[in-house]
Amino acid sequence: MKADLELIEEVKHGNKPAFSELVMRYQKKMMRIAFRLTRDLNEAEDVVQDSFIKAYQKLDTFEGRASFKSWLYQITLNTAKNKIRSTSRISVGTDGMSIGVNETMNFDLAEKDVRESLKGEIEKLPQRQRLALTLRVFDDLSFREIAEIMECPYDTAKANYRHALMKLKSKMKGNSNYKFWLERDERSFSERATWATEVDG
Amino acid sequence: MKDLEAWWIDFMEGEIDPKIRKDMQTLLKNSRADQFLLKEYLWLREWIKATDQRTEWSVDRQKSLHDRIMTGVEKKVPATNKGLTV
Repeated sequence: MKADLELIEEVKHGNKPAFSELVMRYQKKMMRIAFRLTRDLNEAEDVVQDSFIKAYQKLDTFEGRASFKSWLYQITLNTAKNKIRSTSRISVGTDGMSIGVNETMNFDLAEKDVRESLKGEIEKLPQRQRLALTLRVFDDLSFREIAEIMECPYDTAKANYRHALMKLKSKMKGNSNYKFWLERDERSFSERATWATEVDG
Repeated sequence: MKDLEAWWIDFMEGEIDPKIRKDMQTLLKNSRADQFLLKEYLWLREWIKATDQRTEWSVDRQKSLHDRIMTGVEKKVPATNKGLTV
């Protein structure tokens, strides 16, 4: 499999199939980000389409200091935000959305309450904290990649993430259902400690 | 307390300096308070992940979008042909 930079050079020399390879490589990831912001499948596809075309036209400005993935993510985020602004969306309903959020899972009310409360608290976070949090937890990006996308130092990206988590922990402490689930956890802590050390390693 | 929480978040994310990682693992084994603190963050992270709003995106739609992008690209001039310096 060719590296991104190799494909980019080929595109710059007129090889359009090389760009097709980049599209196939990244369109799913970009769709996730676009959908998270637009909450509409058709609009998300428009955002991704516009983003790739912008990227194609601006390839000469890509200097390779950040990763191509980070660069694409930046373009997608900006395009999605512009789209949302231009459609003047205030609130997003669920009509007509084709979402598959764990459709086979049965939610009990307490669990649903925790999810909804947490979603609400995430929305209230300052924008940069929310962005760092979602890129890390939802998209599994490294802090280096997050820093590139947010155009900030590495430590700032980490700090935004930490502050987001600490704020959410503090807010969720007031949710009795969340406390219930936390205390209900019966898995031995040694399992979690092992997981944590594996992540660390 | 906030500094300690920040350390455990870094530990959870694999961002701890290897030199102090071992010390933190020892602390974790011997301190119930730190065990609980780390557990809270691990749990919170899992809950946050579970709130991610995913979408069903069919293979047909993926292909259709890809084709639309390439059609759009066909109409555009590649950046280097505009005479811009790379």
